[in-house]
Amino acid sequence: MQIKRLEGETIGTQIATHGALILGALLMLGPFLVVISTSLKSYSEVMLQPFTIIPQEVMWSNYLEVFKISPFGLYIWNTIKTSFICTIGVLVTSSMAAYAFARLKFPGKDILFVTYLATMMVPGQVTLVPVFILMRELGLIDTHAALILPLWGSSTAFGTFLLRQFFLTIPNDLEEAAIIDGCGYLGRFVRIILPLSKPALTTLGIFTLLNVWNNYLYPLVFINSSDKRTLTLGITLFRGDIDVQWNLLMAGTIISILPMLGAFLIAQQYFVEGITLTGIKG
Amino acid sequence: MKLRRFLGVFWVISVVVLWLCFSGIAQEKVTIKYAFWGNPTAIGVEEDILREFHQEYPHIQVEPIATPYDDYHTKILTMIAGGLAPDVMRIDSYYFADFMEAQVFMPLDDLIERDEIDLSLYYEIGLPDSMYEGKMYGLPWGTAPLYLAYNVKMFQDAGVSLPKLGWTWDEFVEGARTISGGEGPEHRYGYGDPFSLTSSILPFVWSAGGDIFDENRTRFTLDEPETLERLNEVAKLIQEGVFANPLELRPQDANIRLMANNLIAVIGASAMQILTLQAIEGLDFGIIHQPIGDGIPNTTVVKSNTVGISNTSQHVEEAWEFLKFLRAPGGPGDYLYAQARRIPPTSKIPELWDLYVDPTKPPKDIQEVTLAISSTYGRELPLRKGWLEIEGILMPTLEKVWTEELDAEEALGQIKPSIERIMQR
Amino acid sequence: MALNNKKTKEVISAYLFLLPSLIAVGVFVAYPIISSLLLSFQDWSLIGTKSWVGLANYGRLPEDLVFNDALRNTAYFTFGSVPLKVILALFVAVLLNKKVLGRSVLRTIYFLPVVCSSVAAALMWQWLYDTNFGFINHLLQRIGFSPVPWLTSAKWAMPSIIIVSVWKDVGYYMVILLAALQDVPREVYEAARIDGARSWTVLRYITLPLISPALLFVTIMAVIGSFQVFDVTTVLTQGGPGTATISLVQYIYRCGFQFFQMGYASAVAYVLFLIILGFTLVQMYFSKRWVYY
Repeated sequence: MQIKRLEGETIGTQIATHGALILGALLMLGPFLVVISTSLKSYSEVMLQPFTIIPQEVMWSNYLEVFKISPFGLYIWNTIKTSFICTIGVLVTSSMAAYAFARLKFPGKDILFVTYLATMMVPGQVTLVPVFILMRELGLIDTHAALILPLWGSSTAFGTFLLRQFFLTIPNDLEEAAIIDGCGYLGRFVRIILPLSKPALTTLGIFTLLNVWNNYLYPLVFINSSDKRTLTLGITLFRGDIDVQWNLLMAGTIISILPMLGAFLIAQQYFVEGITLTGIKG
Repeated sequence: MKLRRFLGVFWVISVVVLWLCFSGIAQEKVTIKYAFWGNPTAIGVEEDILREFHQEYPHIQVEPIATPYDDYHTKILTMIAGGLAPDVMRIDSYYFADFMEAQVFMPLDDLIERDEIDLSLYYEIGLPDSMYEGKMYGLPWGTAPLYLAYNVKMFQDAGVSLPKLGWTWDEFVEGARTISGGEGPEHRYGYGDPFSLTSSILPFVWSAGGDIFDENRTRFTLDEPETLERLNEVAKLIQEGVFANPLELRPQDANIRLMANNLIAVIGASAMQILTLQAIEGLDFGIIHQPIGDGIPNTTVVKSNTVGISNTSQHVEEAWEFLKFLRAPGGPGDYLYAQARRIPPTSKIPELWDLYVDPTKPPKDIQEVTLAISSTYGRELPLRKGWLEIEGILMPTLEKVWTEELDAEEALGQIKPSIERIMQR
Repeated sequence: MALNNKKTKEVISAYLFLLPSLIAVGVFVAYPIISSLLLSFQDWSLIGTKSWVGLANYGRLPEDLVFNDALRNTAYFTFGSVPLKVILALFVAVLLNKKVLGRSVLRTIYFLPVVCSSVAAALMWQWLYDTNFGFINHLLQRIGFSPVPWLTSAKWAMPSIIIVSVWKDVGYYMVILLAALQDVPREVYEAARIDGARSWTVLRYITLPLISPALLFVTIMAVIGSFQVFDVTTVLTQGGPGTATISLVQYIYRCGFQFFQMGYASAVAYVLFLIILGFTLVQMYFSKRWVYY
């Protein structure tokens, strides 16, 4: 009988584990290799057979072309700005709401929670026109506020749900020490719950960031001036009605992914540190 | 001395103040919004036009609103619904009737007459797409035929003579038959198209003597005998592998890619698609009109979009100045569009053709063919309210005909009630 | 008296905590949703006049062939993709939770598809799936199979879309489950091992219950997301061939923004909402049996 050590497992299992993960990783990566390869080809080559993985002539210039034809740098900045502001707003709002749902008793709790949940079930395309009219009343058309506010709303519903699930797994007795010390709800929230929820908060932060970053519908409808455009709008412009500039489109896509990827990598570090810092939970 | 000096200063100040007042009033900047679709290159052309316009009319500021085509009309609709309609906007003719029913554009006949815009300089065939109930509600934009493009090499290799002006349905089918052949991934098709009403169905039906609606566009007539016969014939050609399966050509540019690789000899091609074909090195192609029928020469769709002024615009005069600049025949817009070489000239002005035609690229006879279509072989689409919705029901049903799941009569019989319901709304 | 005070204090605090979210959700989400409900009882072509039609829009639904197709397609998509997404996400999360080499690199790779926009992902896969030029058929032919019409045959279109959706979303749910797994203290596993429990037992009786709140979250989100599928179907197949892959949200969008029938589109949207709500409530109800807090 094989003894399964705590720190590792049998060699067989380890190989199987790594093998499965690597296979999965290749499947995840595969399409990206196609995108990168396409982004480095000339237009003619994209259209001609046979399908080549390595471009005949590597056109790094495509990436420069993207920046030349469209003010991509500006688009990146606009996207960073709207995503970060919205994300911070969502983190604050959802964590507070999640705390109320997870820890406090009050009338209307269940109904309110179900309502929050229910708002996630109506797709954006449906509320588009009422939201547009609302933004118009508020005089926010063609501003970044119009991109931030509706997404702040919908992401808060989502974030509240996510964080509530996490907060519920934190044992109540951890707060008791604080209660004895005379801490109010706010104190317990800030000093105990939040630090313990770093993984969940980071996850929510990344998701919200991603959601705003990749959102297409709201920038499409609310933004008119080219200097306020975000990346998604900028990239889809390459799609044209008949002539799709495939190689540039793919290059633009890669450019738009890199910042988000960077954010994820940085967040991962923070996330890992967050867990080790909070120590072993008793 | 003091008095004189005082008077002098007073005089200078008054002149300056008066000048400031009047120049302020006269030069008060008006901002209007102009909406259009396009990819970055097309947007560049519009921006060139705006730059020229701003130089000539410094007191009118035009704010461009550029949107990708796929979502363009959604954006326009949302803007109009929210009370923020652009002052000047371009609309695709497919949506024109529906927009007009909601009174989106203002009538332009008075302004056209007042400023003596010579409508006869436009190619007549493009005008109806800007008219509603006999009045002009916009100026034509992008009037162009939907050509057929053919792969010269494939014709030559098969020994079939290249299509010429006046070619008929029978010549077309026979040529396609001769060219098609080959096995598996090497299979060559004589013709391929994703099949929409505009690019293939209507031209085929027209050459057989039929049409989708009657003259008043109130009755659905696609189920008349000649039409059914033609549709069944097309289904058979697809089954035989002479025509490509339209479903395979759904991905954007699929037909162009296949033509570039010498696998399809004839495809439907808009003016924009000609640009795409030109960008492929080494591809020698020509263009021609749709095959004609017995005594029916006009089988090629000529489509024209519209640029109009919103009914709710607060700055009609300025919007009209801009619209004239943009679209008056022989105006600056015409020249700039022709120079950009993206769409053929919409006005009968020879210099425009000289600017548009690029002699270093195929197709060699684009001017000849386009003019021939305008005068003889072209036809406007029988557009009406609900066009897209009708097409949305019709095409999936016709797909069952191409796969021979149903024959044309059964298929059309199935959906006729739904279509009539839409038409009656 | 002291008790009453404490309770009131709790209620007030709760609402204070909730206040920002109430504004966010109430003004920018709930209010537009109600607006849109009112619209479903009207006939409005988005530009032009509105008119009340009561339940007429809803009455049209049963006979609407495309609506029924959209309903069926959306159900097919949901039941096909959700189990795959949740199970695969869990599987990968469990594996990544162990001490594997290059764990953060692997984690990033699995998250990559999530990072790119749906439109970009769909375009990529459209390229890969192309019957004549696509890489997948290229590989198949190398092995000796004939090319498959992935996106153009009624049989393969939906499975193709499901694959793309799973590819895109697995990383998303995996990250959540991984966060939950990492919250499980090591001592729990140690204790179990000392007691001689095998991997499978540990997984089933310890790990899963401990992360069940996150699992519930993931499942509910996956279902809600699947019912709302739009980007992948629109870009990959435009709802075709025929109406084989049109999703409910796609149909809503078409009715509203292409066919100028905002009232009818809102009615379809509300039916969708009720379906999703129903499913979610059922899931929440049954969750009491398997979720441990």
